[in-house]
Amino acid sequence: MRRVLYADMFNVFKNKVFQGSIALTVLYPLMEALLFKLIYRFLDAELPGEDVITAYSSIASIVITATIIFLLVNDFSDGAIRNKIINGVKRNHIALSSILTGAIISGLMCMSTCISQTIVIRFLTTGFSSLNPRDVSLYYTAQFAVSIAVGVLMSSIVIVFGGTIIPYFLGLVIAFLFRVANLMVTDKLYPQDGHVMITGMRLLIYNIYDRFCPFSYFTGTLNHPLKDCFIGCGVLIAISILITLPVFKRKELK
Amino acid sequence: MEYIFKANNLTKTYKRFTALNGLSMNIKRGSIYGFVGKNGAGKTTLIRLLTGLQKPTSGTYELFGKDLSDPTLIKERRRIGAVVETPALYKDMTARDNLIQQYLMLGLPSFAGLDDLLKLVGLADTGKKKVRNFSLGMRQRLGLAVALCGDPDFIILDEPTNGLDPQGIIEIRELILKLNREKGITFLISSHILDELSRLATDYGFIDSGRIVKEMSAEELRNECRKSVRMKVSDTKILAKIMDDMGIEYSVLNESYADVYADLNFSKVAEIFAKENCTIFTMEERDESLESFYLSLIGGEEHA
Repeated sequence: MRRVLYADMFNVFKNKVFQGSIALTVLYPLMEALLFKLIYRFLDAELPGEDVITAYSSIASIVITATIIFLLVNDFSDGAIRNKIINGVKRNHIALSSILTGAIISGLMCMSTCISQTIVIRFLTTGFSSLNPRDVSLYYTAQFAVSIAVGVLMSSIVIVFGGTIIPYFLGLVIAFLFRVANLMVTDKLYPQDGHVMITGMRLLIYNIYDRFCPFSYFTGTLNHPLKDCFIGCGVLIAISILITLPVFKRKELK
Repeated sequence: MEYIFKANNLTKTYKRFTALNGLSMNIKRGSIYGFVGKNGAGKTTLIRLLTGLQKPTSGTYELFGKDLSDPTLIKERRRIGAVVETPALYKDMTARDNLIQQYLMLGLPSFAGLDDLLKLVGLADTGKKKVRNFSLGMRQRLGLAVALCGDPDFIILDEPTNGLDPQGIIEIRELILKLNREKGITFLISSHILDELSRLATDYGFIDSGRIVKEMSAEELRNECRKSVRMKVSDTKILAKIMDDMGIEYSVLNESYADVYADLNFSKVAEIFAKENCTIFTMEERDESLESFYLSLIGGEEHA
């Protein structure tokens, strides 16, 4: 499988969409910091690091989803997957290599964002007032784990549905729905004013979502121990792989 | 006789549509097998089964002597190169990078043969041009180069001359012949351009409605399609003696019929046969083209 993964990564690094996505993850924190700095100047205030560190997480799931789906769908439509099967690569290896490629792409995108954010925070902000270096490193670790889990999920969707329009539609719908769910859950569990107003089963479901759903960690704050984040990511990765491998093994390709 | 591929009663159905209907065929090692059939006859479906993209609904096949149920068959597939329908190419890469990609995927130890391959298919001077900007013919040639990576023993080409200009067709044809003769690579070439296939193939399989209607060697096909006179006589042994004496090529079909491959002077022939006490009942000139032979195989003029 190593040779297939090596070949897949060669393709990814040569791809303009991947290069563009990495450029976006590097430039986005910078552009947003410059915009915020302008707004804060009008307000006669200094830009805190906290505003920059959470900037990318709001769009991360959409950017990761779009990039991975675009890259892997092309593998199907260009006949690359077909070519691997013809050349005697095991289907499990092809699927696992694609999933790993998705995880590596999203991991690299997250890393480039973190590096860019750190540089931007160092030079364009006043630093953190409520976060210490440990909090920041925990936050980055959670973002990295969640990015990989989302990358695995999106890769699995492409492998299951092949080179059609369905992965684009399904992937972006999932990313959008979780974004809406995040806003809903944050609003109910961490209200700006007053107390938490939900109770019973609803509160339990919201809490479980907030603690264990990887997408909930794209809200920009780390409200739970890293262990919960890892459990959620691990479960999502395991489910994605367990569904994808048997489906792809039986899949009839054209 | 050693066979690269042997299919036995293969059937493939998609919901209510039967694409292959009890297909059996044999591809000899070292042959160029022309796989002939109209659109929708089942050519691409068979290639998909052969290459492992799909599984048959029933029936089985052997590839390099390994049965479909043999778990080691997947390793044998590494000895295959194929261009199925459209070449599998990365459009954002150059021709060279596409070959590097294939080399990496096959786990080949070095890129040493890469430039020779590009030269072989006439793409050595494409430089940094991306495949996205290649013509259809250039893509076909690159697809063939990708299929050639790793020195395969068996190459499957689905409509390889699609989109090629006449010069490109000649180049691809000569390349296939060269690879077959010099490296002993076996080819399965699916096409409905019979004239082109007839310049290449050493063996033919004619497919219609998911079944092989006829398998034959190029020589047998040439004989079928040669200009000849089919004679019905009282005794083909006497016919054979007369033709031997006259130095004329012939083939005896059965006790009454024989094909004679020459322009005959009918009156003179009748005179000689009369002398030998052999009666000629009928003499019929036959000049069957490859196309008309194919049409006669798959059911006549309804397919014309």
